[in-house]
Amino acid sequence: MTRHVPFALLLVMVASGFTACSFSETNIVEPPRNRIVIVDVDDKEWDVTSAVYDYDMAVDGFHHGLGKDAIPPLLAPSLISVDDEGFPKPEESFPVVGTGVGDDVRAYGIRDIRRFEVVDEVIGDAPVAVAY
Amino acid sequence: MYGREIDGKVLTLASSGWTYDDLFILYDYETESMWYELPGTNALTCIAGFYVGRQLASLASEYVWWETWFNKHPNTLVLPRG
Repeated sequence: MTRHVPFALLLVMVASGFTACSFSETNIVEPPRNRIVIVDVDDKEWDVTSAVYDYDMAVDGFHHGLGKDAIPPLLAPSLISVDDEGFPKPEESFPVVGTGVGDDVRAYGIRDIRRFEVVDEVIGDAPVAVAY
Repeated sequence: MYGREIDGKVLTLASSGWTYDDLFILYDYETESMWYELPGTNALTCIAGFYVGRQLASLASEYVWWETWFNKHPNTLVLPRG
């Protein structure tokens, strides 16, 4: 039992020695980052440090901050087909985003997407977010 | 239109309430990471949060008039108009 203690200590010393060594040989020094936070109308803090430092986004370029619940997304809505009531007539004129995965072909009116900003869908087997 | 699956997990995307360059920044319910379509990219990039640096690829879609779409795809489903 007693022989194990100094051996364990030695391991710790070797390990810390290696760590110290690798630090001292590092030439690239990351500049210190200030944590950058933006606050929305709900007082929720959003940490945008990486957006500012890594993606060159300006902190004063973030606008509105309406809160994360202001525009709830539409989750897997029921769509209608040609025989259903309310199906738009072929000659109706409105812009859509159309997409299809295999035989699963769908259209979403731009105006409807804008009301929710995002429609979370599964098209075919693919989970997708319809946003415009 | 974007995929919303990452590392086998399905994300629920929503508006974060923030805009940047007049474009909404999205976030996911699961980690509250922020997702944004950076100029010149065809994807959402995670600009802050758990998935920072990762991307959700854009999927093929068409922006057309209903009439055009319906004539091409008479079997299409459509979101009821609100």
